Amino acid sequence: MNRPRPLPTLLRYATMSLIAAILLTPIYWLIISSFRPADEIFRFAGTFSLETLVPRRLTLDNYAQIFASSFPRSLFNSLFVAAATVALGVFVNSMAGFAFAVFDFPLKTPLFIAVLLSFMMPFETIVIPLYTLMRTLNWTDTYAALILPEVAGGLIIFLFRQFFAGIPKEIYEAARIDGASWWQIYLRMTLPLSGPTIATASLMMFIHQWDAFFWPLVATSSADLAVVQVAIARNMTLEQANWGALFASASTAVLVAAVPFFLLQRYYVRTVVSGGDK
Amino acid sequence: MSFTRRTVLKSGAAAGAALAMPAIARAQQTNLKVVWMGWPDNQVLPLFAEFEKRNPSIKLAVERMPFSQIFQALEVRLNARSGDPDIFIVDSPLTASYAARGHLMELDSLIDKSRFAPSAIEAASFQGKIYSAPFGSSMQVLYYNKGMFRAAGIEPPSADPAKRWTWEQVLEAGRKLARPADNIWGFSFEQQERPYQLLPLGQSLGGVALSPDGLKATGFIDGPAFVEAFGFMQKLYTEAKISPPGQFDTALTPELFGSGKCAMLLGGTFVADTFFNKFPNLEFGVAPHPYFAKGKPVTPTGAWHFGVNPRTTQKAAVNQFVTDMLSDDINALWFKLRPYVPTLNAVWTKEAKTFDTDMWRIVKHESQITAVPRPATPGFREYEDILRVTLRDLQAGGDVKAALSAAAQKIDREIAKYKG
Repeated sequence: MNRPRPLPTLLRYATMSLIAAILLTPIYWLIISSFRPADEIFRFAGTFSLETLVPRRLTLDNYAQIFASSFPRSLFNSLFVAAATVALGVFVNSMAGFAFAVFDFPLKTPLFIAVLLSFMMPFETIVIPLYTLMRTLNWTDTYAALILPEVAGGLIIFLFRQFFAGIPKEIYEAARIDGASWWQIYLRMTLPLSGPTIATASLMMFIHQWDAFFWPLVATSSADLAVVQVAIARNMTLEQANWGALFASASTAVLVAAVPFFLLQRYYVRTVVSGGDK
Repeated sequence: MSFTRRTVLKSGAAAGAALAMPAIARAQQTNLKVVWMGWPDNQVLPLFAEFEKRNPSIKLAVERMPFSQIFQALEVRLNARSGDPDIFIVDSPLTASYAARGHLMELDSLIDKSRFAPSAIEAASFQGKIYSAPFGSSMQVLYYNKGMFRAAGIEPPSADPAKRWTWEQVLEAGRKLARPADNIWGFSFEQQERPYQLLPLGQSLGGVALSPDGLKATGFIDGPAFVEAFGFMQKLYTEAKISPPGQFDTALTPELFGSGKCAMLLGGTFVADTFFNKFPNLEFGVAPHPYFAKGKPVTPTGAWHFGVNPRTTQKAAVNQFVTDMLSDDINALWFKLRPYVPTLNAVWTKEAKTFDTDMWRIVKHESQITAVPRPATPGFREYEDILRVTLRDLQAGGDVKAALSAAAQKIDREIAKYKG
């Protein structure tokens, strides 16, 4: 084995650090700006200098302001909606994925194509019929309207189906011969095996719901049901923006969303890499 | 008359019913769903609180939508063709678009035209009928930074509309004030890409932004007046470099002016409030909207109206809402909460003291004399979207005539669907 040569290694690390710094600067600027007083946020933003990065004065006013408003309620709403979607979604989508992977039934292929198409279709094309459906069910302005349309997801079903299809059929047959019901096979055998897929699916559903903006805006109208992205966007109107509150609420939302990602990222990467070779 | 058991029972029942009336009236509470712009709580809630105080039987469920997606979200709700919302905020140039598609109730019987500025009634009308309630208007004035003018030794523009600056003067002063390398700019539009702000340039040279029937852009927006005017606009960014490029967020340009990075800002009346609150040390003056030396002064106008969903089931309550919101004192309250240019003549008299400043004297003059509303067309959304992109592109350079002609053709294609 060659000994690593110190100079190229150093150069490589320096380059990578520089790229990382460039990529992280906007996020750093977002977070540090949330601690700046209102009149300082843009004072040093036009030309890049040390003062762009290092604030002269730090303040918690922006955070005090958002936590005194209805922002905590919106934070709770988004967490609740995202968690409920994940909890329901893991079961619904894995059961669908299991059925597509294991059973043969009439119209299996057209149905699977429909599942694939469902996640390729832009949301804008279905938003009006979806809203009309929600109205007919009397679900507008409820948590149900925020959670239930997002539970079943074509991409998530596809992910589970790919994983379950990779499990040898003989295992299922052996279990059947031993007298296990399909329900037991699903619940006791395959689901416990699919930890990384569940982690990936959960993350995807969580982030999707955390970022949801347009549908919640359409589907709910009372302030008590406002989700976090809507609460953030409220800080901007046509003629003025409350930049301090905007940056503070955006920073909070980014940090909260990052928590499950950091916890589950190990599994996430593994599934995405292995999902392709089934 | 003898009292039989029947009469006693009858009168007892009648008395009981009479006693129960107030309770029934209380129980008959009407709820109105209102979609409003996402302005801050303290600028919106007092308005609706006042309405509810006057009308205890009507409760308002007010939803404040963020500006970024309010029109798209409203489209979905309205296209579901239900009675939700009962009332919604309307950007005045969208009046024709909503009215043509049956999303607005006609309001002629509720609005006395003589109480309003003519330009406000014009902006609220489609095919001769009033479809949106003119709740507030807008006007642009030229803000200038007194300190920066002093330092550069330039005589600032006069507040007298008769002595207003020409665009040529703005350019000349801008050249002396700007230092682009240091992020110091001479002049900026508040809304650098929006037809609202930029159409008056071409109109100042005699241009007409859209055909009178509102359905043809070719030969209008790409006519010689707009080519010359937008060529001038382009020069501000490319050759003269006195305007900050790429600052399309309408909340950012006032920050530039407020923090002393830009010497002149052509902005709405509302921006003044941002300066007073956020930049208390800023020393600024106000002058009228510039015009081209060989043209005439033209200013933009129009702003937030509101409209009634024709499918509402609460006709009496929405009528009450329209009448009360357009009453002199509630409209004056709205002005105090958020100083848009009043559309009601009475507010100008009622708040005479407030209006005794350079800015409001200019605004009053412009609203009456030079204001031109945006073109009334059912295709305003398409018109604006296409033109915005073109104006953005032009600020980076390129052939003005070719870009405007391409935009005009695109607009014609898009709004052809509203013909007939």
